[in-house]
Amino acid sequence: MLVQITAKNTRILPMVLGAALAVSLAFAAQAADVKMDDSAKPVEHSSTVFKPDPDYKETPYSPEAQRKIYGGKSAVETPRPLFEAGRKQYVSGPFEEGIDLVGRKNLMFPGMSIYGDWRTAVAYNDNGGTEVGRVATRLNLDVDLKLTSTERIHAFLRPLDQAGNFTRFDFSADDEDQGELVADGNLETLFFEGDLGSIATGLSDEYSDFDLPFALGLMPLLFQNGVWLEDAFIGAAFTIPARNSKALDISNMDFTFFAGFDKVTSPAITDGNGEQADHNVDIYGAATFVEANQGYWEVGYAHLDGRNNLDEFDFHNLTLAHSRRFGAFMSNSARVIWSFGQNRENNAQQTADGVIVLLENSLITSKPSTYIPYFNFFAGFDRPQSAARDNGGILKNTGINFETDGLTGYPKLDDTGHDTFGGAVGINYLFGLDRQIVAEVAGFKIRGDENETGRAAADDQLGIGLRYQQPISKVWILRGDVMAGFRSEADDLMGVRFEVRRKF
Amino acid sequence: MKTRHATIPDLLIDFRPVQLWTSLLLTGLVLSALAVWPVQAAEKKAADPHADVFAVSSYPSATECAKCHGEIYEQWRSSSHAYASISPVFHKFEQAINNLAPTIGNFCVRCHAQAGTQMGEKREAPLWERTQVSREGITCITCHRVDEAYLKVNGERRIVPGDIFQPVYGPKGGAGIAEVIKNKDYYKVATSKEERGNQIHLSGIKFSQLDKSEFCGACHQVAVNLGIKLEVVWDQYRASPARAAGVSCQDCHMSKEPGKAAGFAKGPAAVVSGRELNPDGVRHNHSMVGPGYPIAHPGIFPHNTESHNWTIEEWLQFDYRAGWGTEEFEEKVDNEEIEVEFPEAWEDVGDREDARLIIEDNLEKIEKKKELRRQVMENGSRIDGPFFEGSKGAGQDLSFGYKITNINPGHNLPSGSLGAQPEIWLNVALIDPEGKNVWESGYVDSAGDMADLHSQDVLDGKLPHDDQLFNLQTKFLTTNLKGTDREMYLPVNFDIDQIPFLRPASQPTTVINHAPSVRMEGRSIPPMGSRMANYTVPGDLITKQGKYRLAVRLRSRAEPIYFMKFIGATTDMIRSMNEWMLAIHPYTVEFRVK
Repeated sequence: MLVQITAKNTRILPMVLGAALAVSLAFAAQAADVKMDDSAKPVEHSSTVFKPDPDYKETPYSPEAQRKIYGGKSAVETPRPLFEAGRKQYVSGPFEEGIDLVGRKNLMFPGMSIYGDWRTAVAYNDNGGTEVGRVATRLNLDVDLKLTSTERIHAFLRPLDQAGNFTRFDFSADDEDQGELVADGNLETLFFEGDLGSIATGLSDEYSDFDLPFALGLMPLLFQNGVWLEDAFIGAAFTIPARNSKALDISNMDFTFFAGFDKVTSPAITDGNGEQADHNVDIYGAATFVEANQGYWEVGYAHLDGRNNLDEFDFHNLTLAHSRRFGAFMSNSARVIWSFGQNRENNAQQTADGVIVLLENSLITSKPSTYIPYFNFFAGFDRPQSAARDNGGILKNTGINFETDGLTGYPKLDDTGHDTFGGAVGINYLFGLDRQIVAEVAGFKIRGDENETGRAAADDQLGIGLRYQQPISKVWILRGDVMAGFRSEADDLMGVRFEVRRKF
Repeated sequence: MKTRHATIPDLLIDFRPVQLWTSLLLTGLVLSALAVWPVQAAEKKAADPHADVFAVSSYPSATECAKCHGEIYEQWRSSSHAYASISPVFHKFEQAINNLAPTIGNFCVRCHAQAGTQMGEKREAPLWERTQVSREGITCITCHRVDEAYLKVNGERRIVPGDIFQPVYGPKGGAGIAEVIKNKDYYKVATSKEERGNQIHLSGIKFSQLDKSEFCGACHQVAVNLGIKLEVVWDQYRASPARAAGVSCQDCHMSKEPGKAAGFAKGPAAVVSGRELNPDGVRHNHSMVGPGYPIAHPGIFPHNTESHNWTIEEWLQFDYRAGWGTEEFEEKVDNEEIEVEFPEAWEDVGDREDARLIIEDNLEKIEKKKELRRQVMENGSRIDGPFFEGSKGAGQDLSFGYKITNINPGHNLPSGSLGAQPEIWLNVALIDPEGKNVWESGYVDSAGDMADLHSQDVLDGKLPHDDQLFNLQTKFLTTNLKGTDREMYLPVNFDIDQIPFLRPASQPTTVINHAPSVRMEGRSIPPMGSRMANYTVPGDLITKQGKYRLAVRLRSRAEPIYFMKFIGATTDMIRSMNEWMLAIHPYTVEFRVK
């Protein structure tokens, strides 16, 4: 009992009993249907036992601060796309009525926009074998045609470069100075994205019981930040989205299934000339994303299937990754990618037959959003491969020294992860989210002998890199990079570059 | 000349150094063109000087509707819908994200101030320069002047313009209004501007989507064009037992019991000139009960027709916290116990006292909202426990757990606007036989934040990290420049470059879970699911034998304080946010330690 009383004090007894009964009833009612340990007994609750909340008693009221909430807003220059037609993005004003061409419950609101960026850089790059000064430019154009709220057609073009050749002028080259104007009308991607549930709703005029987003065409897929898969191929994908499990305590999960039949790019599958045989490879796979255990899990499987006498390159690819934060100390992702099942003819060199373990970490500092020390490690055993990739190597997301600039041929360390182990340690500082400086040391050691067959890196490599980036307006960004790479059993690397980028 | 394989429409033109200047000139021209490409402000001023007047009359205010729908107005005026355009966090957040990601433009105001945005009001317009209907946020016409079935439109809905006489859309049709129009003299209504009486809409049209969950999805399933999801209630509801059972959003959030599909209240939808229409009809509760709560100045929210005697700017000068207009305060002023330099609008004590009445009325309204909020949260959750593991002895580690259950079948716990990152966490304290708090989890720092990686006190080493914190808050993550993700205040990535443009994604984001480099990490409990919150108290904190107490409560807050500081919230905003923290299912047990 909360209150102990004796029978001596009969005058106050009824009052005390009444009060005690009332209190008991109050908390008993509150905890009436609460299940608890047999050794626990509900008692009166008081919020004063908890540590206190912030106290604002001495804080004066500020009419000026109040006024600024509602009257201190300012206009912001809004960069518009290069071209817009139909419904524009995020403008004010009245909307037009929807078009019920595919159903009055899946109305069309057509809107087209063209946007992207234009990058131009001057660089001096020493890639070991070649040394060149270069001015190069690259135009990225996204063309988006919005049809309904869930359906759209999207295309991506790079009109000024093709197959790694950029519109450029080389100077101070090993050969004579020369330039090349590259024009490319090819589409890098062209896909339709929609939701089968919404389409069915529109066509049937009955709300469907499911959502089923899908995409088809020449579509870029990206899983695990591009580590496991980053490729645009001709095929289709669909997702069972936004499921949960009370049995497994899963807050949210998606299941994606995909297949590609052309332009499937893997460095593990090449033709007789050593060129990537992306027209003769199919891919079938699935990826799952699960939010649980104070983090999220990513699981994926893909099968790479070579056609037209490329069967010997077939391989399976399995991945598991988990990301979470540990206390106020560290953010972490742990990934494993396993390539297996390849069976080359005549004992030819395997190209996809190994495991890579990646441990990506960053520290949580007193400026957790803007000051990010990172240390990413990897260990590759044999020749692990991403499921598919047409952009950089499997270590692209490990450090800036493992990534080129996609423009001038800026040097990088070997990014295959084949029979090597190492990592990148760096600092990324974003000031007030308005500029950036990155400093990084990266490197790896080889497993096995020097110049071993089947491994891209002849021997150990070490690189240091520095990056500075600063917007000078709402659309213009300047960026400078410098790197030096030191390679055993190979010529050293050096690069310095300055880039101007216009976003639109 | 180099040779290169070319296919149509490929075109490769190689050239010699002599063509360098041509190349540079061409590049220069294009870059120059891009340089002068206008960085447009999206707004376009209407050329017609009468356009504004026309626009206002085409979007009737809730105050006009209140003349006949007084009870519904009374429910609505303190609702989160009514608050959408007043919310100080909305205004601060909206400005902050525009500063940081300038292409976002009118994305936020399209939902929060839908009528005003449709009228072409500038997103940065001061609240007092906005029209009344714009200040009303999700007002009557936002739902009842819609005649198109939307779903995943991310707030891009069209209100049918029209003056007060134009049709209104409802779930049932217009039998009631037809009756009124037929007997307009009896009901003393005006069917045109030339007539005397309450001006009313001339017809009611059944809009079948209005009482379905799909109607809510237009604003409660929201993603930015890049594919960044901010609201996922529809996603959660879609996979819920409630959906399978045919229970709609409206069934729980407009019912007579907050958060439960307990049926709808009965009552007249309208009272026209004192005459009730269909007094036994179904009347949906327009309080739209939810976990949200207002932190605005009580002079400007809840909406109150009486408050229009003063301007918003004048209200914001009114120091309601100091007690202006109360008897106690005014006596002190009279007795010169305190000296206050009142702004011009509030120099007169009579005005202050009149204003105080409105403040008190609004505060009372807010208190009722607070109670509804408590009910909806308690109707959607339960705590069981503690459940002990092992023996309970002095000097021994004490292990125990609480089981948290989401008993709401409709969506996760928590749900709602995840863009605002609402918080629900468990606060547990162990009290020793002498009444001393010897251990606690779920405590807050000097700003009010939980003691996790977002607590500045923890990051500065002033407060220990709460290693056993049980927190159901959804997190936004952005991918580091290289490597893993980190928790971030905004679902916008600044590592790639520092002027992030939000444009339709280059990837089909609906089939890859999230937009590149940005994602949401849910930690909420799925519908009807449970999760154990397990704790271990070190034995060196349990030094005495006797009766110990364990006090527990789920705490709920609409926004994290670290997020509010990031967007430049005022101290008063933070204060109100913390003062409104809710304790859900608080109770205490005692047990014996040997």
